[in-house]
Amino acid sequence: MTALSEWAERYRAPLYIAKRILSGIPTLLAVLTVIFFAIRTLPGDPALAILGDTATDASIAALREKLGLNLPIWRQYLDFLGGLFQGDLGTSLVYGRSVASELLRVLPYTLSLTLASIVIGTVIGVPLGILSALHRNRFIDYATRVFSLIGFSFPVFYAGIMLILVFAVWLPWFPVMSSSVDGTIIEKLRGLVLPAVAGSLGLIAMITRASRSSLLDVMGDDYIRTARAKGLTERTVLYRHALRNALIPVVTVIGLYFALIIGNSVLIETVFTRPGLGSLIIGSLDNRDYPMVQGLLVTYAAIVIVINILTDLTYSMIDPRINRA
Amino acid sequence: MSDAALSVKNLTTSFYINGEWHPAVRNLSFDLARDETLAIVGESGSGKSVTVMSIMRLLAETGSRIEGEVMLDGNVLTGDADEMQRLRGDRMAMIFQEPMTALNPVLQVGFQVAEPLMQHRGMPKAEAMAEAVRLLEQVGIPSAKSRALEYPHQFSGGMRQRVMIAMALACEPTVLFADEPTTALDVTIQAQVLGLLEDLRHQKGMGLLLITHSMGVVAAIADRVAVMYAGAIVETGPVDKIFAQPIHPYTEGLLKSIPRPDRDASEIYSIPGSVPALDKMPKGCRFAPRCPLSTERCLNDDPSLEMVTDGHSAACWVRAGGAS
Repeated sequence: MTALSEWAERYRAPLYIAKRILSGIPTLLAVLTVIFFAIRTLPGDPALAILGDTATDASIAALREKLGLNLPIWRQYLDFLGGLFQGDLGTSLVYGRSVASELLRVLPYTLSLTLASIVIGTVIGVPLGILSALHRNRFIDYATRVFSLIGFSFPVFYAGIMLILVFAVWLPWFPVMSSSVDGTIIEKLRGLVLPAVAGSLGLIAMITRASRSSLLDVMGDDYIRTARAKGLTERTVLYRHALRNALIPVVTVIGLYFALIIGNSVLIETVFTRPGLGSLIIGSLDNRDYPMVQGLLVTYAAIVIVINILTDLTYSMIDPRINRA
Repeated sequence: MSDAALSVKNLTTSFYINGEWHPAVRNLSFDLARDETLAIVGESGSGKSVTVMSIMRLLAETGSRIEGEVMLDGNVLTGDADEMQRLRGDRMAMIFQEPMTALNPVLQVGFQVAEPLMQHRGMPKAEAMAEAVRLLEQVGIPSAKSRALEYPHQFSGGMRQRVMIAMALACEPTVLFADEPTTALDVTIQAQVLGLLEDLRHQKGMGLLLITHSMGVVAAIADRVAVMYAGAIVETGPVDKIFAQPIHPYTEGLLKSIPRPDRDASEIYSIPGSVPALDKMPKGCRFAPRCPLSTERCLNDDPSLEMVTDGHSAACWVRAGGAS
């Protein structure tokens, strides 16, 4: 073995991680470019939108100058990228504050909501899927499948309203509005429960289905027969040999669904009057707050790219065949 | 034979197809001594694999039915799931045809070899892993210590089959089943793996039940042969007798179909037709529709296995005169 290949062998895992993170950069750059030009092609003049119908031509021209809208498009593009590089996403036209600080203020709410939904979805979905697969075509399986079909076809906003009605109004266990910006960690968590459950319903259904079919698939594989042939108990066959292989496609589902859940958070945050990216994007679109909309899109794109990288890294942890290259 | 490693009596395995039970293995009986290699030979669909899977009880429970008696080490097996689980991998072990898919892709090779020891001997993991390295060395895997920590995709087909052999031998079983262990391997590797199996069988004094469709493999390592056709043994005997004086026309056909360097490819014999499907079995001798010698009687009555010379039996009205 040469020194180089020995080195590559020893640092295979960190190298893979570094490679995967670097490969996110061109994707992000491409998305940023699309976002920049998409925003620029929106109809309407931002300056006019800010100042309103009664503005004079002179004040509009002055504002356009101030916002840099008179510069050639490539200059604006470079300024945009340069700003991003320094963490500057511009200034909100509505709040007059820095877009970046506004985003950072609400980001934890959306992220905690999304993560909580994913955790609930996984913790309930995977065991349900296993149970369903092990009792294939028996009562538990049918019940689980009906349950996931219902969860899947429930609109998020309706589920949210029903949850509020039952668990906040009839049974006052949780707050009706989870907007408590301050408060203890316990209060924050209590405020998180209902929105997270609402967000997890569809995910539970997806994960249950994916883990059921994936486990059934895997149980028919040759190495499961080998595991039985060497006298392992059914329990060991399931938990040690089948489950890890069966989880690989489930990770894909969770990764793909992450983007969808972040999208759903717009509805959930509105129903539960909860701060977050979702409520911010609705307000910003209403007010034509272009820098804010742009900043939000950049944030969504970055989250999705990061999730993709994390999904890939999770694969490589489960499946030793992946981080070979 | 009470000292047989494995003794099978009247094994019948049926599958439920289109509302009816169809036997895939019929009234199969054979003994396997310690330190003996018995080859079960036959075409695809003759019931060779089903026989072994029935003895190991590895068939899916729904849709299959197993009858008959199996004795392992002189004890009758009840077929109880817990009992079978304790015996598998300990007293009887199995090697499969596809080394590429038979190992778990996400577990270290050494750990997979160590598993039977942890399960049946209650060995702690570290000790079992050390033993696994020794087993891997024994089956000829170079630098076994570091390779034990690698994963199956880092091994070639031949090496994986060696891993399978190491795994099967971990608990020194009485009986080793090998289901077409070399079919998926390169020809050069086949001879190595067969040689290894033969050596280890001899060292450990195991009974080796080898399933194959290749008469070449039979000639290489078997002591005795059982030729299966459509779920039943049609001829059985010592390997030299079967090769020198085959009785059953089916055995004859199999032997004639071995390609030989002194003949043209156009002269290679092939038995016309194929093994009938389970739900389309002819009555009488199952081979009669494909048999060049078949008579009226063959088409109506099923012949039973009759001893022709010492230890050499066949089921054929014409050649063995089997009285039913």
